[in-house]
Amino acid sequence: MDNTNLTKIKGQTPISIIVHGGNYTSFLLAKTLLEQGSHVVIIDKYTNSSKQYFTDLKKTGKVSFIDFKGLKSFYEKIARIDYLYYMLGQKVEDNGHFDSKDFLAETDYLNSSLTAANKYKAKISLVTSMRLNRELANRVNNEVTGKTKPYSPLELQRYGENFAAEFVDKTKANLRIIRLGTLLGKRINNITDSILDKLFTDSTQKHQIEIEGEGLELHNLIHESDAIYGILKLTFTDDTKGEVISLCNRNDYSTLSLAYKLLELDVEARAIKFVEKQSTDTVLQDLYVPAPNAEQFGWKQNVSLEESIIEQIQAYYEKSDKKWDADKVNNIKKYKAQDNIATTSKTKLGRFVYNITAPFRKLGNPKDVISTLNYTTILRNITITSLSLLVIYFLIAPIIGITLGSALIYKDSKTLRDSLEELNFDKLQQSTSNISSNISRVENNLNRIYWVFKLTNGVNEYRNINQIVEGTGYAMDSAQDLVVGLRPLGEYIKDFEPAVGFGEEKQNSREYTEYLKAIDDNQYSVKEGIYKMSLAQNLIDSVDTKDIPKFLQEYVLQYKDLINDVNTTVKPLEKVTQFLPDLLGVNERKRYLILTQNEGEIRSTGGWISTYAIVAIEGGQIREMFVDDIYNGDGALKLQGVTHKTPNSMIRALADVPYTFSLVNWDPNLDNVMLSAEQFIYDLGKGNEIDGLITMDTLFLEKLLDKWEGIEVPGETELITSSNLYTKIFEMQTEFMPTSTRKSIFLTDLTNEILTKVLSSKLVDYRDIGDILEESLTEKHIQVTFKNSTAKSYTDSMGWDGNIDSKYQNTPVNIDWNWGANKANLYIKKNHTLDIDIKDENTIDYKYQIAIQNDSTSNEFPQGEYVNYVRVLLPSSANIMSIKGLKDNKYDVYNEYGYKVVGGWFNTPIKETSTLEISYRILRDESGLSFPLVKTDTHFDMDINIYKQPGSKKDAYNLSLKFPETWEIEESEGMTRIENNVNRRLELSSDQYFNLSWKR
Amino acid sequence: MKKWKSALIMLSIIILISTFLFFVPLDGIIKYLPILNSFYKNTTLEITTPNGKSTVKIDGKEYGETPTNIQNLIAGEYEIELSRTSAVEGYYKPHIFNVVLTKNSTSRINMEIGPDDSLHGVVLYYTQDLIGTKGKGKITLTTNSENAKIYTDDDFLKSAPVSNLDMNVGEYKMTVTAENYQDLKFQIVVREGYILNIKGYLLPNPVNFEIVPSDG
Repeated sequence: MDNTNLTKIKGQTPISIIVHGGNYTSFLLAKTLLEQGSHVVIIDKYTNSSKQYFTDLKKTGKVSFIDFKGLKSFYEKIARIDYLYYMLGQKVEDNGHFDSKDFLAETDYLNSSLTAANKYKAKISLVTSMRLNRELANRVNNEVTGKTKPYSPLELQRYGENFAAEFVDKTKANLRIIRLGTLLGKRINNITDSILDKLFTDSTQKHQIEIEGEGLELHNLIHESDAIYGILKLTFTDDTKGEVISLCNRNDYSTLSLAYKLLELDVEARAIKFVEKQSTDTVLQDLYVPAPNAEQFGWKQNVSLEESIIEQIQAYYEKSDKKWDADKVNNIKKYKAQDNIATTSKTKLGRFVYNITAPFRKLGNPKDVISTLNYTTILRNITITSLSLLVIYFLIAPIIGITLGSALIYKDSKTLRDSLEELNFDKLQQSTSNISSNISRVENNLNRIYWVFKLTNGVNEYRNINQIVEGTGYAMDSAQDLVVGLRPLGEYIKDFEPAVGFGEEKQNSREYTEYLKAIDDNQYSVKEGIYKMSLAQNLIDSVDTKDIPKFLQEYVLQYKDLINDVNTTVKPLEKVTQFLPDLLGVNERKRYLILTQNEGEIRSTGGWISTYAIVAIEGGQIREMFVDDIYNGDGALKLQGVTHKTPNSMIRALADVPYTFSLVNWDPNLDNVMLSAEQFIYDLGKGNEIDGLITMDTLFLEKLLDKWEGIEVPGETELITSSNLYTKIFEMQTEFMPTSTRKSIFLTDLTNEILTKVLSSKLVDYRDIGDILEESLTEKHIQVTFKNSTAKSYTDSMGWDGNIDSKYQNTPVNIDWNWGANKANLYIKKNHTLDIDIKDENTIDYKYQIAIQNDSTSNEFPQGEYVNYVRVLLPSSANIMSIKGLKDNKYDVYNEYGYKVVGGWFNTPIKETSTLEISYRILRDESGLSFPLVKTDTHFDMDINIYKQPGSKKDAYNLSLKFPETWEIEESEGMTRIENNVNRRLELSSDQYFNLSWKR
Repeated sequence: MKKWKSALIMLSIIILISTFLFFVPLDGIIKYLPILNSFYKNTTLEITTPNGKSTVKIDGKEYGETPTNIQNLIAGEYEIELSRTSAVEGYYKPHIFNVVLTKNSTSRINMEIGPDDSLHGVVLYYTQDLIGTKGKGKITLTTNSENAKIYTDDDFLKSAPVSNLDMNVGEYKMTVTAENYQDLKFQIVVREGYILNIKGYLLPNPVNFEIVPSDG
């Protein structure tokens, strides 16, 4: 055989080398290896006896033969060794005598083989004879027999085992020593154990079995197939690395016991005869301790001793040309051939696939399948599978699902937050959709484990948790709808490029009509979103946190607050999306009037008007911006000879003062001011109509300047900041009469610059001034009203329009009008005191005091006497009992704006304090539905709405209410209760609301 | 070693199955399978629009005019668009309602459509309640008005909105009232194991202006 072929062997074909392979045991081993697909290399002397084995093996598979002479060159050339079986035991048992040359040669072969195998990290098995090892041990332990002869089989074997052990220590080779028992089998013609050989020979050829001595020698036996199976199994198992193992049947047998067994088997011999032992080396006591049996490493004896003996007897009968009927021997179990001794050719994946396809291969033999069907096993397997699936579906999978879902929701919610900040709608839609889907999945999973809560009496916990999940689901569905609905608005905000700019900045004239129309079209999504959010809020708010596990309660409470806040935020969006497109000029151009008011000189709607501006918006883009001094307007109208009818109440207060554009804010209701101003604008030729009115005072401008850290104003050498603003204002306006034309170029230019800066910003930048805008709207430093009814209703509901609605009839409303041509309002302190005395369910007395302290130190502008025409608005049905403190005790009482108005001059000189007091009574019979005390079947309810005049500072307000002693108060949130009195001290920074309730 | 490997493989299989069941709910597949989907098609959708006819579109597909009774849609959420027919084009806006159809139940839209956003009527649909009490069903009611009050058989029930409110099974005459809005009356049937979702749309009352003389 051409040995160079060994380099071309595929990687998946293992290479097994058997040294001393020319014997029966090695033949069986090689045959098995070949059947398993291995490539086998036999190394031995080429003799007549070994030749027969080689010829048989060639027919079986890929086998190579190497003589010992070519051993070393073979090891040099071979590309790979996977397994090495060194059959030393067979060698020493077959050859009874060795000389030194043989000994040395054998040690050399052993050394070369081990070195070569270890080089390729092969698995190595040194197979020795257990019989010789027992004999060696007994000799060593027995003083009489003493030492062994040099170059004897015993010594060779001992040397081989010691060498192998040292080799392992040095090189950590994957080597094990297998001590093989005496083989029995149907093709073994001569048992290597001479005693046993005589036993079997005698039993098959003589009438009696002769036993030398007492027959107490012990023998370790093994069937040939068990031996081969054992060698292979022990070699392949990594657990046997470095071990010495006894491969034999678990029990050892004495000569005598074996002889008895032979007699039982219907052999020729019929008796046992004991003869004197001829040899002198009798072992007095067998002290041999064998190495651990192969059973400890997973090997199992498959062939029973009886079967082995039967086969061996048959072999001996055949050897002596006699016939022996083995069937006569009953009740011997047939052994099964080892099919799968080793599966060296399959990889793990191959084995896996082989196992998976095993059922399909079996289908090729349906008869075998049917015959091996076990219905009990099938039923058991089906039951186990079904139960397992049920447990997984109803317990394990839901728990894993809820955990997985929660993790995914958490991850997506982070993405959601980022996308919201970036106004990335695609990501927003994706995130909300993902979260919504995952919540629905979590809900499904939660439903599947309802039975667990029911079993553990946790139905209430389940309901509450389910409510939270359901509510969150609604919240996410809402978010999805809101994203769809508000997307056009968001994109408008993101894409908006103003047409207004500073100086020569490039201006964009793009319109955004398509965005505005899309806002309109998507309203239903917004409505749906708000509906679902209110459902979510309702569900989550009604969760009873006491029924939630303690460690979650804090989070649930926080979550409730969050949902409430979100619901409050999104609720107005329905109305906003309804009117916003119209306000932004989706169908036609919209004009808005902006008035700048100076609250240092207070007027009805906030302050003295210095500047007016017209801003026109069409298609979402600013189309016009015109800013001018109000007195330019007055002047133009005066030149044209245009006059306007002065309101009667203004005539009462200011006599012949003409009703000019600068005094258009006489009426405290912004809606009325808008309608009046529209006429002025029309007369000025600035437009046929205005669609909305916005007022802003200098306090708001101051806040903006503070935020922006100043602004450049044409004509000013220094940056205008919040610190020098008022100084600049005062510079311009000295020594004027209230009716003087007080041109304020500075304020006009400032307003122009501020409006330009605001309107030229991208809408996204409004976030920076968002807080200022919100605060200013609440505190009435900015007011807005529109003609669009939905927008008007919205601003009214938010309290941004400054109108004195009927709800303020429950408390007196104070409107100041500074007519001193100074900024005395910056130097006064005002204190309101309102005492309400509920006499009975039909009678309420009010006593209202206003105390003004003028801290001006001189009459020099901007300080001075606070010349104030005050109007106090009372319920129209009020019965005035007393009025004290007005100048010369002169006052007017008339009906206007749905109120009874008390007007008069309430002046406060410098460094003095003035007090105004009005007392009045209201009766149920006279008030009708507007009587503040509402009577229901079970309660008395009273709303107290306190109006803050726009432009006024944070006046101190003391409210106290007295009620009958017999009444039991139930609700008085925000007020301090003492017996039958409730009171509250506050700073009137914005409109205030209190609700009181008594049990009847 | 082998035992640990087997345990790891078993655990991996369980996690794989659980993850599969998480992302692919069996219910969602079954309702689209032939033959089995017939169990999910037992739905009815009734649409009526008093004082006028409207064209009906469901998820963009036309389904004729009201009054209409549509059966055997697969259970799920649908977008119903109603456009009132009028001699003057564009006089009435189309309105979209989201309705959930649940198997073995009837959903109803009874809506009077006015100009702009004027709507008066009710959208009713059932959703399954897996944790209900025996002999009781639930209702969820929302309205487009603030401070609405709900009456059943003329007895005050609660202020709107309500979510998952337990009620005994049976028929009820519902009335929803709100200040400055017209009352909304309709019949409902509370069923065990179901949540009846009600969306009420109330029409604002017409406003009468009274002119009061002013001295100002």
